[in-house]
Amino acid sequence: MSCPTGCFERSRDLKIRPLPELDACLVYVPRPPRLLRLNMTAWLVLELCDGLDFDGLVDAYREVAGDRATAEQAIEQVRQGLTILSDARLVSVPQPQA
Amino acid sequence: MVGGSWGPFPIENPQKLDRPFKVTVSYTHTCNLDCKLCYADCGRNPDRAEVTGETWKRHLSAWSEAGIVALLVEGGEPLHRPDCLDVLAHATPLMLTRLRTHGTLVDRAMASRLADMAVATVLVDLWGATARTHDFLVGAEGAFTATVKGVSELLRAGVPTQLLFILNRHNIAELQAWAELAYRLGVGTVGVLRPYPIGRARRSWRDIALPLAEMMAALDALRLPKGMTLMQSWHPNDGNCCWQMSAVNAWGDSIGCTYLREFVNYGNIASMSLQETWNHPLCQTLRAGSVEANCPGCSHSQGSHGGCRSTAYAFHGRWTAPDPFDEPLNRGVDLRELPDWMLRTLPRPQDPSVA
Repeated sequence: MSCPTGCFERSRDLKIRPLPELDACLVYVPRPPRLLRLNMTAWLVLELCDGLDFDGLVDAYREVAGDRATAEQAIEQVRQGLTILSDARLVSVPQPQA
Repeated sequence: MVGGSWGPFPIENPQKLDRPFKVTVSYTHTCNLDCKLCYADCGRNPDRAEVTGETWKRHLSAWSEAGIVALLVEGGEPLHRPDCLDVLAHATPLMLTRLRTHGTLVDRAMASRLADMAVATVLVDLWGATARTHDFLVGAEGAFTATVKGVSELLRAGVPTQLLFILNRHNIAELQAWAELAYRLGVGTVGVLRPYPIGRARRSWRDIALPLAEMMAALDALRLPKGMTLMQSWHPNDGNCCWQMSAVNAWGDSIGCTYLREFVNYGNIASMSLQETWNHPLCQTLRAGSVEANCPGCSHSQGSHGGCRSTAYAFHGRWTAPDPFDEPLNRGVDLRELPDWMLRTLPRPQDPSVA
């Protein structure tokens, strides 16, 4: 998350269980074994972390969020989601190639 | 003590799920001990009718595809079946995997293997602070020493390990000493569990059961060593967990929760999917969580109402009944006295709350 030009990738071994009934999802991380509950924002950002950089994430987030988030709110929400995900080591940021 | 909120009926569970996300597998009904509290009524000999390890692996893969992300493997004694470790190794990449065991079969090599496969937690039943009490309750001399050794090996291997204590008349005086023993062993989290009147525990109920007030007093008096965490399911932590539970016994019968094992059967997973058994009308009824009364304290802490359905049904014969293990909902039920129908094998009462 500290590399602004890197692309965000979710860890490949995660098992994601949507719980739309509870406005959440569960994420199983096998090593070390953990089961985490994410709110809707973090869940959406996790799903979008598939090779996009920060700006790409914000664009993709706004596309899904539509009128529910202004440009400023989307930036902030993506930033908060990435903080949660990187703290939990659910996403990684490969260094950009030279 | 009389309290709680009674009506308007029904009080419904606020949380609902369309599909289960966790499952408990009662892996075998065999064991090397003879516990007075055995809920599975275990025997020694392998039962060829039990689901094979290879079949469990196929179920686990299918459940993972269907969104199951958490698994508890218990028994009987799961490690009494030699194929259990292979099944656990199959499970750990797919779902958070916990194992409940009495630990007597855990040696250094097994502990190392459990660590290598990244089992999330091992829950070890140890029912006393002394060999005299624990060995009496499990019907095997030397079991206490073997369990303590198993716990030590698990901790040495780095496996997150918790101790479980089923509170009963024979061990209640040792609760404090047991917590201190757990601390000395290096265990950080312990669980004090209620006894359930199922299996052999049902038949020995008069010998093991305690009045609710005595159990509450013991819990109130418990002083945990510094840093230790306690799990307990009495007030104010008495949840009605059915909304999120699924469980399958050693023969493949879907039983909702292992504490319901003698009361429900939603169908066998050899002939239908786990999801189909979850859609059984009684399972839907229990998941809806309609109850006659709730305890505000437990509802607040657990997000569900009425407390455990197994003990509610055992003492009242109604799925909507209040759980008498919850102090505000007890209403004078003497937990030492099971209803007559519970002391016989069959028949069970016709529950008017289920169409």
